[in-house]
Amino acid sequence: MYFLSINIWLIIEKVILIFCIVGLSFFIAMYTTYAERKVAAFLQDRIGPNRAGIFGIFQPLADGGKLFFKEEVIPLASSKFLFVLGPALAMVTALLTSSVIPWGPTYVNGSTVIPLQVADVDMGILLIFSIVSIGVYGIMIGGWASNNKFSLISAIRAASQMVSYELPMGMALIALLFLTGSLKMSEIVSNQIQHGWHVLYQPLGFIIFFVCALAECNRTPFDLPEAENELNFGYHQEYSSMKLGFTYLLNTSICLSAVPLWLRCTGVVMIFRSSMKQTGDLHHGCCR
Amino acid sequence: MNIIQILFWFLSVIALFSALMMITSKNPVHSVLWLILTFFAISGHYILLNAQFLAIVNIIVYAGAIMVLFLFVIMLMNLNSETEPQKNRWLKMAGAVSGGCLLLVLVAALKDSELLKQQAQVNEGYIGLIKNLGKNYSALM
Repeated sequence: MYFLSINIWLIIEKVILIFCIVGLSFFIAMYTTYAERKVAAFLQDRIGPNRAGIFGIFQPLADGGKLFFKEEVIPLASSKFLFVLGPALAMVTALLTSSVIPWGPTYVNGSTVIPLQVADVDMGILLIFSIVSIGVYGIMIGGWASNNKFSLISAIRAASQMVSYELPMGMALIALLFLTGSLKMSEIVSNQIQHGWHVLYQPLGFIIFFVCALAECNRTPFDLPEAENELNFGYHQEYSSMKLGFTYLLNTSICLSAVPLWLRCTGVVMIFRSSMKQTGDLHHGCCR
Repeated sequence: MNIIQILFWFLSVIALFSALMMITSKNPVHSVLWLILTFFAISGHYILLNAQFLAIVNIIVYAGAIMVLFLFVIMLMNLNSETEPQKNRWLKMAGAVSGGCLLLVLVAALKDSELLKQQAQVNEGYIGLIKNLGKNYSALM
């Protein structure tokens, strides 16, 4: 069967793969948050989430459901289309990177060969970089459209931080490209299968990359955009309901790409998403 | 119509429409956002010509870096349609006429050129891939 000279089974296969990887990303995002909250609670001699399900394992689902059902407030003086576009862009860019990430070996069963990767493009790493640089717009548009000076200042802080930390991150990745000689994600992974993890060869590069990834996600040592003393709550101040939840997923994309670049990931589906916002934030967000 | 033609017309319509909207919208922030959409459409055209490196670099450099700086400046200046000085109507018309004249000259100059008889290599040239761009030029020849 052909549709516009494209095999329709290929389309179906890719759609299924996309659903799998998106579902997986959400699942991992949910449970890394849960793990983070639980570990932070243990460190601070608290119990942590323990009401929904045994050990509170349904807590992320409950939080998500609650966010979906909350009232959505759109400020009167905001530009409404851009106000909605901001978190939507953030969500799109957070999920787009998963398209080039290989998450398993090629599945071969008789004559059917299914690579467990949505698209294996030649420009793998550069594509991830372009998506990350587009992720800035989600923050900037959202912060500006809120028509709130705290949101604007915070959005500009976040965006300038993200733009500036992209450079050292690119430099760190060049060390990795010297090792593999290819920008293709599948070749980077297969190179690691042959020679061992890239972390072992380029520890300094990995540390630089890790620090920059923290800065890109505006996480704890780099959380200037959400300085609560000066800026109240950051660029998502005016957001409520699930749009707030989407701003939390903002720019998880870079962390998503970290594992196949630096660590080997074949056989099992790897754990790659590790970048939800810090726990205190999520508590704050869920109380609104 | 095969898929490449459909994509070509789709991207062309997006590119032209967003470029027009970039010029005509009153709010400078909207202008910048339309311009970013134009860059994306142009990158789509590059991908249709299999110039992947150019497409990605266009997004990283123009849409990802330069337009962010534009947005910074415009957002901090707090421009909007009320404070923006409105141009004289005659000035706009003169601009349209002179732009049309430029288009006429370009069409007249290029309509008999050799380039028009060649068809763009859609989805088959491999010179724009990074593997070929990385080789030195003499090895390529």
